[in-house]
Amino acid sequence: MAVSRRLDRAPGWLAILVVVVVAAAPVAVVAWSLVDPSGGVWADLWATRLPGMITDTVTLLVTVLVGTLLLGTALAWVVTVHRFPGRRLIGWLLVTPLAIPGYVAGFVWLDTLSGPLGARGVRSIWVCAAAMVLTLYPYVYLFARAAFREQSADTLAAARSLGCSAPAAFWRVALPLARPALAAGGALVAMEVLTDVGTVRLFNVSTVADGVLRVWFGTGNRDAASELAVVLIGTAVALIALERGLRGRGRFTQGSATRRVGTQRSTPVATAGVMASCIAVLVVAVAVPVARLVGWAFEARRTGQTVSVAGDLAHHVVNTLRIAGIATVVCVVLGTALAVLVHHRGRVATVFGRVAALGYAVPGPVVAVGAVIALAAVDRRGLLPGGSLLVGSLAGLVYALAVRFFAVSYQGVEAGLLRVPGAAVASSRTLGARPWRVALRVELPMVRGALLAGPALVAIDTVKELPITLLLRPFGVDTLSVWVWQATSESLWVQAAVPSLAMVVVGMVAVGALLYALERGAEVVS
Amino acid sequence: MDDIVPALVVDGVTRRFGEVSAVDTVDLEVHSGELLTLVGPSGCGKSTLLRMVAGLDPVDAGRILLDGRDVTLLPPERRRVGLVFQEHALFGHLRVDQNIAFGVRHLPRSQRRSRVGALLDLVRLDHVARRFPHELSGGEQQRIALARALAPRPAVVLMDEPFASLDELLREDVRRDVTRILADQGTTAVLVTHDRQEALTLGHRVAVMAHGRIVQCDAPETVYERPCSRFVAEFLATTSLLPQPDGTALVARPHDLAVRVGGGGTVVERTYLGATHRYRVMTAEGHEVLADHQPDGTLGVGDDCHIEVVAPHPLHRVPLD
Repeated sequence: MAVSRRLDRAPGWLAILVVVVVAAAPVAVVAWSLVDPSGGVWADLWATRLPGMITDTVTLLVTVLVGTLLLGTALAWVVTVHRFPGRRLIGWLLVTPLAIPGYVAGFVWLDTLSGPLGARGVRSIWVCAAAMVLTLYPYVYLFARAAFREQSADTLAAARSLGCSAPAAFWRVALPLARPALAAGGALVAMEVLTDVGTVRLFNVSTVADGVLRVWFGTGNRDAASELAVVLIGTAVALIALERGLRGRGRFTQGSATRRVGTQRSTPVATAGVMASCIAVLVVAVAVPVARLVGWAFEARRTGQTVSVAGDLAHHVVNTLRIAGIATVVCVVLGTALAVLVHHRGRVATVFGRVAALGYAVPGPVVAVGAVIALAAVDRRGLLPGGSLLVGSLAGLVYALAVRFFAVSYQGVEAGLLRVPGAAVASSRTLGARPWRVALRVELPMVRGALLAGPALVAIDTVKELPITLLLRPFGVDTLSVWVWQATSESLWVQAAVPSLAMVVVGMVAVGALLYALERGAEVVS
Repeated sequence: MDDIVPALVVDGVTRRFGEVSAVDTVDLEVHSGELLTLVGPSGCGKSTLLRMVAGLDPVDAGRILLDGRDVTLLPPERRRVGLVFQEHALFGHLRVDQNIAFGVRHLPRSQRRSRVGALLDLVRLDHVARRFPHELSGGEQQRIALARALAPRPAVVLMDEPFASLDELLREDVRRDVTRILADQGTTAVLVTHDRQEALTLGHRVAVMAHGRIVQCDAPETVYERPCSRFVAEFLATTSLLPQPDGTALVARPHDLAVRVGGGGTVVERTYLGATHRYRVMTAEGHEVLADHQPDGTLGVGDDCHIEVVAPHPLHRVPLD
């Protein structure tokens, strides 16, 4: 590439460094607590609750991973290769459980199983895992479907001609080729499991994340909570290493394949089976929760339970949308800017970018605890004018949310920019455009699929987010998720239904935007 | 030869897409050890025919026999057919040796290893056994794809535009390698191509396909020198048709004709080809013909000229419509 792709250098580097330092601060603060252990509380935890917490965390993690990988991969495969009526629509609908927070699916099924269905022993880790699988499998599904769609039909045909039956070709070729995508989807699921505090609380599963919150609110011992959070960082690091390891040395993408994996004619029995399975998943994951929420919402209206301690529905919706909106805008602006800045600066800058994007690989409670400690340090020194404080401010909350989620938009744009042909950039430079103009007029428009998908994902995540919101929300500013948290911790399902339904509606809009973005993205970068 | 069962028999095979027949009652026999090239313009049904032989596309009518076995209804994995694609379609998650061993999993380990070794030897790529496909050049990938297809000793190897993705310099070498390997192993093979030069050079026989039908299937010399129709004549080489009073036309290649001074025709265009000049001439009878002629500098665009047949043999005749 003869054309110099460098932006004006010094201010850009400075901007990158500032973003990296600010973004990495909460994680660094938590990690630092390991250097100066507080002793007493830690020993106490280790002697009593910690082993149980770790057991529960690992059990839940493994179960949910296995479940989401099986369900997400199977659904992605049948939707990719089978031709059946309504395939396109079902393919989209299978993503919608993303709009339902795990703790909402959790309390709906908790009540449905123990109430109408009369099952016993429902408050178990296994039902908790099932609720999580039903709401988290779309991560695996989306990645797996993209991977299967990209595979070349010729590769599968070659496998068939070499003696593989159709199922054998799936196991020996299609699935191994999708391994990195499955690992990436699985990594997202794992992060959500490690972050979760809402669902596990419903089922009395005491995970490490739950422990961090209990220590924080129960004992008020910030150092102990921080040290406990280190366990979460350790787990996350191990998972990332595992994911890298799974990528292996092979090359899994088949960019130049002429013939994509197509849909095949199926027997009527197979078609009916595939449709029935997809619809069954949708009923359990979406239809039943939404139907029960609607039913409860009517009951709440009749009995006047549409108001929480902190105010009415409108108040919560406005708060939720405002916080999610601001956080999304911040994430998108920062993520896009950083991706563009890093894109032209080579390897060192890319490493900085990865460090800044670390927040997404760190569970929510860690970011929450780290952000409070870091912001409190700023507050203590009175660094802000007029004696205003960051802890308990909207700015503080948005900051922590941005640290956790800005990686979503950053990685999307980064991956998109890598796919912009160098020739397009080179030719616009030779046409006289300055680098920043090339970024705005050529590169970013070419990756607009990724630009749209990022905010949609950030919005979905922030709306249902719990640990960060719980720790950092300004006094009196309650969101829908906090309302659900408070109502469900007292088993007030009817009262939790109205805000849950509102969250699902907001989430569905965001999922719609995400699907639109993914379809457009597939068209734009091809 | 009559008592020897052909390696591949295609008997009245048809494939319909709605109203259109992509492959229309095609009959074809490929003999053991033969390399048959299947050539035709894009969309003529040649790839569909290949996919039906492989079992990848269903057959709407007719039968396919491999070594005398009727395989029409068998799934691809039970046909003993080797496939080589334009994009190689190697398994990106497996090393080269694992790719080759993919189809001989049923063999005991030692036999499997020696088979892989022999094939790597055959394609002269022993040194890349432990690499991954994306670490190889296009030509190396194609030879590995061939080795992988040959490993289970298939009844026939089917190749769909195997050289189309290689750049021109490389293509020549890989072609030579592939034909050497196929001949070495006595492998029966069908090679689909849209490149007429490739079809004529590589094929022991050439089947020309158009609109879902095989219009001629003969030795390369025959299809080239004695095409059965105007389409075959014009598809296989640059051709001028010289209409005759009886409704037929003589098939003339540019090197069959020479341009002479005077006679009522006009030179329309002159192109330098290196060894010769190619003249586009409007004859006195009003036909446009192409003729190659040694550049002697006497004729230019607009000059008065006529055409003389200089071929050492009588020109072949085809029906004009």
